Amino acid sequence: MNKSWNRAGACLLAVSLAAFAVPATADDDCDVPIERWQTREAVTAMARQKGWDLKRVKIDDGCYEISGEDAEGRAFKAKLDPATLEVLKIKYRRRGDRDRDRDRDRDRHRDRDDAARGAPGAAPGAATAAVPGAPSPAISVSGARIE
Amino acid sequence: MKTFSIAALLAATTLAVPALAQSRTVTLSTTLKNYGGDGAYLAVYLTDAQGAYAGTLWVAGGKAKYYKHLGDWNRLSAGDAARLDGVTGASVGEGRTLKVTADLADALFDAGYEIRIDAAVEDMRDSPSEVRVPLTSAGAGQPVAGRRFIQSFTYQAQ
Repeated sequence: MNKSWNRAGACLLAVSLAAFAVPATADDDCDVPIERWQTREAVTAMARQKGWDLKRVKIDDGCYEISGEDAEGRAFKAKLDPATLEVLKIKYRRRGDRDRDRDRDRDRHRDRDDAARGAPGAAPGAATAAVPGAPSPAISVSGARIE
Repeated sequence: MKTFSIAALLAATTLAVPALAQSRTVTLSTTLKNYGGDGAYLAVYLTDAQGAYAGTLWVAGGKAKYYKHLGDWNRLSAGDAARLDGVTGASVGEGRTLKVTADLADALFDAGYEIRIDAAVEDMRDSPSEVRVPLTSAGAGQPVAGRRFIQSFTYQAQ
C-alpha cells in the first residue's frame, strides 16, 4: 500500500473520530444519565420535608423544575439536580410577577386561547348564597386550607 | 342560578323556616392520592335532588381557562355569575388535603342534595364528578374514595 492511501486513511479516521466527540447540547443545564435520576415521588417527598407546597414538577433543560410556595408561603421556582435533588437555582416571585411568569410557562405547553383570568386567593367569609327576602343564606363558605 | 333552586326548596318546604334559619358548620376534607402529577384543580359543589346546580363551595386552582377541565361543575354552574366569589384558592398538590369549611342550612340535609367534586390535573385525564355523596345527617364522617385523583373524601357536620 502506498503512502498517500495511508495518509488519506489516517485523515478520514481522525475526522470520523472527531465527529463523535460531541459536547453536551448547549440548552441542557443538567447532564445526568437517565439511570441516575430520582423519581418524581422522591422530589415531592423532599419538598414535603422542607414544608414546600409544590404546584408543579416538570422536566426541562435536563433538570427537574419545580414551582410552588416555600414554608414561609413565598412563591418560588427552582431547578433541581435530578440525581441528588440539590437546588441548583431558586427564584422567588415578587408580587405582580406571578401571573406573567405562569402565563409564559403554561402557554409554552398549551395552545389554547386565554379566557378571563380566575381570581387567585381566598376571601374568607365572603361567599354567601343569599336569597332576597329569605331569612338567611343557605350556603355560607368560611374558607379553606390545604394541609 | 346558584340561588334559584335553594329559593325553590325553601319556598316549597312545609317546615317553617324561622327568621334565623338553623344551619350546621360543615368541614369537607378531600385527600388526594399520590398520582404523580402537578397540583390538582378541584371544584367542590352541591346539586339538588333533581341534579341541578345548587352552589359552589370551593374551587382549588387559580386560572379560569382551566376550569373547563372541571367539566360537570363548569357546565352546571355556567349560569351563576357569582360562582367564584370568595371561594377560590390554590390548586392542591398530590397527597395533600383540602379542608373547606361552610355553614349549610339544615334544610339542605336529608333532602336529596349531593356534594360533588370534579378533579383535573394537567396532562392527565379529567375526572368530573369523581366524588358524589348525598348530604345527609347519617353520611357525616363516612369516608368515600374517588377513582382517579381522590384518595378519600369525608364531611363532618356540627
